[in-house]
Amino acid sequence: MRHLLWILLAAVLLLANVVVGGWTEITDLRRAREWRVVQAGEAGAELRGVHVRVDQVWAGSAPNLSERALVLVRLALRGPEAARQGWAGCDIRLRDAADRVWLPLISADSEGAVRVLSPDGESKGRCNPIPYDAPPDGQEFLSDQLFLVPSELLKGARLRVSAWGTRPEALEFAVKPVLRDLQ
Amino acid sequence: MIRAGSIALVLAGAALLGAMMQTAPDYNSVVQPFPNAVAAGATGEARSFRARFTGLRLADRIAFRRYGRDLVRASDGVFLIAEIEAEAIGISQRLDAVWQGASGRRYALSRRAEDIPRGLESRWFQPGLGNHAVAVFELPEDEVAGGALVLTGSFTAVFDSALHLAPPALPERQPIIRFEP
Amino acid sequence: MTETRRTSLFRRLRLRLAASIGVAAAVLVGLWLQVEEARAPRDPPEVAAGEPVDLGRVEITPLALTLAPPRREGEPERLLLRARLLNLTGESQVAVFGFPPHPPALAAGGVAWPEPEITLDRDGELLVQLHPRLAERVTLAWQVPPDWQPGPVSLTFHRQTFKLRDNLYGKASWLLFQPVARMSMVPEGAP
Repeated sequence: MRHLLWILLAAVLLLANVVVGGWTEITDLRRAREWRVVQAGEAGAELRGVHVRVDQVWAGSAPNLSERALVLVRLALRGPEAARQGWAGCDIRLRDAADRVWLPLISADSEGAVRVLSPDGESKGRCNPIPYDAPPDGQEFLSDQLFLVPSELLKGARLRVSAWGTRPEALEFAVKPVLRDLQ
Repeated sequence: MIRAGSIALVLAGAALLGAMMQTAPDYNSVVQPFPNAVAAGATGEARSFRARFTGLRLADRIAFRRYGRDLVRASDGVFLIAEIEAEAIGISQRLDAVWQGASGRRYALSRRAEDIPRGLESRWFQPGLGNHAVAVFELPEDEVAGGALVLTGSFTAVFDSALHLAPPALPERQPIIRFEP
Repeated sequence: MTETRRTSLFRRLRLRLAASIGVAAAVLVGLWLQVEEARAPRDPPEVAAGEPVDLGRVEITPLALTLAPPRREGEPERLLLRARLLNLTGESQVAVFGFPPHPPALAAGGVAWPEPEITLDRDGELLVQLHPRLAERVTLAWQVPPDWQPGPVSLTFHRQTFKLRDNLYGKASWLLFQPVARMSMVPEGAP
């Protein structure tokens, strides 16, 4: 009888250990994965208090390297400061139908390429939901991310946007680039 | 009779445990990437990227420009310049390279050649797009023949694949190689 | 009845007594060994310039210690140790003097100096990496404290212990540092 009690206690403690350990693992995994993806239209969509909209997408390729294209995605964010805090570390990726993923370029040359590709010759900087010069709440502010992709992706790519505080939820946009000639 | 039986049982158990202890792989060999040998000139496929060893050059000195300064690096050994072509499979990524010498010693990318044009440590590889890069190593000359270029998708690559690319035919040693942007 | 009970009690007592004495003896012997180790401080052996010292990952051969003028106007003078370094491991090392870094420790009159700056003579740039089988000449530069009077200084070299199978995971690890050599000399060029 006394043995049975000890065995039961051990079983309960083991179970508690598994639950506590598994809980932290699952929370970590949820923070890293985009499981609930909401399709957003051209007007954009709101996620965790922040409204996200794809402002403009331009694409261009050099004549001698027609199999590769540069894609510039200008993103507009709008939301109160408290909600934008949860969007820190915003993660913007292009993906195709086969679930291949392209990350934004972060090299030193990408800033110059952004200026070449954007018609206004400006670079709005990479996505930072809490900029030091944030406009008043309710006003949109822009960011630029540059991708290097195979040209066939221009026919149909999806843009997925999420952040540390929003995952496993993410927003997905259809990308329709405006082609520009790069000479 | 019963005593002899139980002694035999204990001895058998001890022998079994001893055999298990002797044959169990140690930690160092367990947490290694899975090697994948690739013949010279062939394209190797790892879990997350494809790569090919396209060219090999040897030089006494290398010259390049960094932050507006012309630099020339000399060595007691030799500079090995490996040219590769690689492509990511699933997601944009960087690659890390190590030269595994003929003696088995592992030579990391030379930090004295950091920021050379097309240098591997600053290169990103995109899915669906082949990209060229150069990896520069500094090593004694007798480590070149019989060595291999080991490419991995990340710095540690534990439980990931590593391509061991055999080098193409060994070239003549050049006095100096210049890297133009 | 009482007779047998008394003997069994005595026997049990004797057993416990033996066990207690054994434990006490083990504790005492262990303590004594520690005291003995602490009582005789083993000074690391003295080495002379030109003698190689094994530091674990690298082998250092101190060549010359000189007093040098400041690099720029307004900066303190520098004490330079020219040395040869050879990577003894099977892979390129970034942590040449171990991790956390333990470069040779310089002390004058019992006062330790801040860590030196280590440059690769070949490039005149900071030493960032050392490849196996490629020995390099390096210079370790200490900034001379303002109150230092030129005189003898001592250098202590530390070796980091390597264990192929550590006690925790059975994996290869770099562990503690221990002083393995000492060098005392008057820097050349001192007035």
